[in-house]
Amino acid sequence: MSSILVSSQSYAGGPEIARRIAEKLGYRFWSERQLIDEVAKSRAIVPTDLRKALEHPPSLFGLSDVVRRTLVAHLQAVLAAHLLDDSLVFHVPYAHGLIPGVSHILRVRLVAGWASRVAMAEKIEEIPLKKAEKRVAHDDAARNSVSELLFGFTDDDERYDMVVDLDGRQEDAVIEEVVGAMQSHAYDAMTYSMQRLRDVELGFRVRSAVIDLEPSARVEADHGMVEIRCWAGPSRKAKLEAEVAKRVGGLSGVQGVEVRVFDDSLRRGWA
Amino acid sequence: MADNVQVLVLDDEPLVGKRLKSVLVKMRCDVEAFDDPMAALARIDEKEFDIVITDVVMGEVDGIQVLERVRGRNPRAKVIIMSAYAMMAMARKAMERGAYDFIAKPFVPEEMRVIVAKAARDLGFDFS
Repeated sequence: MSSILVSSQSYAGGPEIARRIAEKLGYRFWSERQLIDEVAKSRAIVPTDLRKALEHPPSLFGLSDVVRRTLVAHLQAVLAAHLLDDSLVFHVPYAHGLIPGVSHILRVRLVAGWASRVAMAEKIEEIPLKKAEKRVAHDDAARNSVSELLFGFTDDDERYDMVVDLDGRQEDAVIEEVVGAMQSHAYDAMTYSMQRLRDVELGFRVRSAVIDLEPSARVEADHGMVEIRCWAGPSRKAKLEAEVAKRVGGLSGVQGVEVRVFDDSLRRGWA
Repeated sequence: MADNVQVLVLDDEPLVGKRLKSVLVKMRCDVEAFDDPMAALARIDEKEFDIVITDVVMGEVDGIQVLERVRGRNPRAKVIIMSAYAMMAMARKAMERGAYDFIAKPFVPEEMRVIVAKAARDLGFDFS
């Protein structure tokens, strides 16, 4: 049941390497596009909005933070559900933040040098050098700012389990390195990590179910017991508590729900 | 092979060993429980256990050292690590060094029963 989440810099050739890692290990491969299409279909979302949520930097006329977080909450719920089902290799952005703290999921970051990425951008997009440089620089800046907005940290290398520099290396050697890591048993599934994944999946599924009611909702799940913390004004508190509890109580795997609605005026006072 | 599964339980909190022993003896296990890691290591040197269940954080000796001692003496033994400080790095380290399973404390007895039964089956015991 071990899985791999692969993130790569733009124009580093990540999706193809991720696909070949899956093939070598006999795991199922999912591309970012397949994941986005499934989330869009299951939650009745326009796929381009999901792509914007992941790829476009925050801007005055872009997606609001609330909409972006809502879309990503749905994506996390679908991703976690797949990871419970099977051994997978997913090529996704922000592998360091999307599924936190599950020891049998290896989070790999594929990086390449500036020159080789620009060259690949020139070739794939059929654009001149200057444009290619601008495109790669824009992608890097966008991913950093989106990562910071969603997870509170940039798309840096330190939060991955493994960072592989592709420059000057044969693709086969890179694939062997990742496959070798999976064979070390450090990323084997165990009782603790499977329970942690079940908790993470339930937490995301609950958040996805209530986020339209209250985008500030924070969810913790532990062996089916769910705690939801959110903020609301005094006039909305009782109604919100009841509505959240009703929605969450009906979800599969939920054995108990505690909804804690804090006074919104206190949050404003602290901010 | 003995009829019963030979199990050693080590936790510096005596109550844990006592409770686990009462659960495991009901499933055809001969259980020796220890709260002193040095005494447990000495016993491991004397006797081949099929399954060793050990805490990680115990002061002078940690569960990873116990795991390595057990695996060094008897590579077929299944070592189950339990920890109240279950963290990714610790879990990965234990699995990499050859642990059979890793479980976070607190747990319900049924969870440990399932792990021990699976380990016993993998060792060739008839645990239906």
